[in-house]
Amino acid sequence: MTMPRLLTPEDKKEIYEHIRTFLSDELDVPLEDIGPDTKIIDDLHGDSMIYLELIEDFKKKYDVKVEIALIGRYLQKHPVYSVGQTAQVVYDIVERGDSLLVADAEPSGSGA
Amino acid sequence: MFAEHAHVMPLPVGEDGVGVSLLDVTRLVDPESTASRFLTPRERGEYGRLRHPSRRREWLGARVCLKTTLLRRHCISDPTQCEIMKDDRGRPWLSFAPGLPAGVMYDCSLSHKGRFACAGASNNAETGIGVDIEQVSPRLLKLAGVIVRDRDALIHSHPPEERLALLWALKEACAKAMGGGIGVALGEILCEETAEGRHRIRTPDGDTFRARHFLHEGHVIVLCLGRRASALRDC
Repeated sequence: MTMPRLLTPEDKKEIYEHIRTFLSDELDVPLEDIGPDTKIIDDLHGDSMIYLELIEDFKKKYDVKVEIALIGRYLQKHPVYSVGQTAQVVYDIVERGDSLLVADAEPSGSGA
Repeated sequence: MFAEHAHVMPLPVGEDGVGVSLLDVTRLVDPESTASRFLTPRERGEYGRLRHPSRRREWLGARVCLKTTLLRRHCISDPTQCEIMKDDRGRPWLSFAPGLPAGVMYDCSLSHKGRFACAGASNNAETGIGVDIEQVSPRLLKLAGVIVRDRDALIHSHPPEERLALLWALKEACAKAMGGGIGVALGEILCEETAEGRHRIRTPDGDTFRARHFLHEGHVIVLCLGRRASALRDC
């Protein structure tokens, strides 16, 4: 079970930069060529495996124990193509933990 | 006859109305010339927007594969009579020029990895098709926990990297046949090899697909077939 946590803007910045560095290293692309709108497959010549590697990397880094099938279901609802979309998915996985889909089903501001 | 024909290798899938081909994209000696002969103006626009040289070659190679398959099956007489479109989920579909018989090929799938591109098409209106190619690589070892389910079963023992490449290609091809992306492949998809090179794949919704795999120069190529919307077919 993974407890949800709230990421600060600094945490999110760190995650985003980590994704850029990871992609730059793994795909041998200059860091300055990687921005939020950069498409991982089309622009960087990445593949589906790179998404798995990123997710596993962040699960370890943040000690997140969310089942991969749950992440799979989440990705079906939130397809990722760009670096920015990938960062958002990582924020959601780290912040929501096992509640990834539960939180997704609740409309924003519900219960207010 | 196009020069590229000689390099596009049909795979012996043994399925009526289904063709799958493989191309070593390094054989495309003049990609820009190939693009001008094989792509429609809209496709050339898409090709022109791709920046990464390897990505451009793979992207083009997969389309050469698919259109060569259609040429060999006499669905078209010129590669530009057919356009490969994508729906809003990124799934490819075929659009044929006016005057050609409607629905000569109902479904298609493309894949590429490193040196190789592959593509498949089906002329059965009810059959969804997914193809995937994966390179057998040590890179897969650290993802074993993500790729393998306890109940995944292969008949023969394979080297670990090959086993992982095969299981991942099976799941990716199934996801493509279902019309989903990586999220589907990460789900509770179970693979069972029923005869050498032949597989039954079950999805969390209880749908069943059938698949075949081929090994070629350090790569695994998978063809997965099932009913287009909701599959329930035996191997």
